[in-house]
Amino acid sequence: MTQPASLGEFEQIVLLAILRLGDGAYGVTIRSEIAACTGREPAPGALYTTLDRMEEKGIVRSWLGEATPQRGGRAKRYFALTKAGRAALVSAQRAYQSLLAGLDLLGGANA
Amino acid sequence: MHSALIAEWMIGRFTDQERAASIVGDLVELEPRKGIMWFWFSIARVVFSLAWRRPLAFIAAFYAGNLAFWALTLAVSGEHAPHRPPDQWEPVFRLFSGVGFVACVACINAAIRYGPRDRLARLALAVTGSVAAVVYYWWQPIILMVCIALFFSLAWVTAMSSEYLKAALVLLVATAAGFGAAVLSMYLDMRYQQFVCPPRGLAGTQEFQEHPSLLWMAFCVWLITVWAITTACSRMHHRLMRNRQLDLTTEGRQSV
Repeated sequence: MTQPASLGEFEQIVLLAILRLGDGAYGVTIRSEIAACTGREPAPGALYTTLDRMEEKGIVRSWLGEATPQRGGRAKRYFALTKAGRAALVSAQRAYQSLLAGLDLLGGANA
Repeated sequence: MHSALIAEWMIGRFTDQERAASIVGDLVELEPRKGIMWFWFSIARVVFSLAWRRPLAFIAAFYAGNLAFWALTLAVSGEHAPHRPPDQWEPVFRLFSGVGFVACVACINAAIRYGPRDRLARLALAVTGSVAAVVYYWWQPIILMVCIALFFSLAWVTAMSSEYLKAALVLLVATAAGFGAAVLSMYLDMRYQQFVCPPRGLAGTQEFQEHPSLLWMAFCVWLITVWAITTACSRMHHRLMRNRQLDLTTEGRQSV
């Protein structure tokens, strides 16, 4: 059985944003979702190179959608997780959950 | 709108046209809220993040390749080389030096551009290491046997894995491109030397001191050769080893 790909922190954030957005995950919405959830706007260069890298690794896949006049007639590029991407994200989140177990970091005095 | 076309052209130099158009489309969509300054600043950041690895990879590959070539050449035909191969084997060892040089350039270039885990970088590193071991320790039978065994293991692993087979093909094309470019550029360099020093033809130390342009021409020979190898590597890597998951229509979607 193959090991799931290891993910960096920003990669996990991007993957979670894509999951939250469902069918509407493209550059602009992914950026907005990350900004809304983390309070920090990702740099455009970092976002697109991360998406490209994850696509090369087979963690996400993309397809071209509709072109709109607001975009100067350019197509949106939508993203979705692949099975390998979902497995990698689950594995990374499980590791976080294991480390968090018993710490009460999100509730109590540190909340 | 015209500025968006320029931005698309700029980004298109470093990624494919569909990706460039979608990135610019995203930034155009946000421009009314963020402003034109933000748009161009974002374009500059995208271009930088897409492009910075290329010049770094080229410069590092150029210096590492030169170092590897001279180290291998001196071991094969240097006056003070402790274990020079027999004369009849020298052309074979010179060929090994050339292959080691190409593999070293490909390894450094791929490791910086695609990461050290890239299959091309790993395969090229294995080839560079094997060639260096053969050139330096050919006179020790045990090391020679280990290298031959390693070579056959490498060939076996490559044949068994389609990804390593593609990496081997990339390396093969890069080697052919490197040798072709080296022969062509050395021929042009020789013609230039004959033009600058007509009576003697090939230049020596004195001619190099008298005509600094000869040194620049020699530098260009290396530059062209490394450029041919790195270009062949990146083109072939893009064609063969990139995950092709960008579906051009929404029909290509599947549920996860």
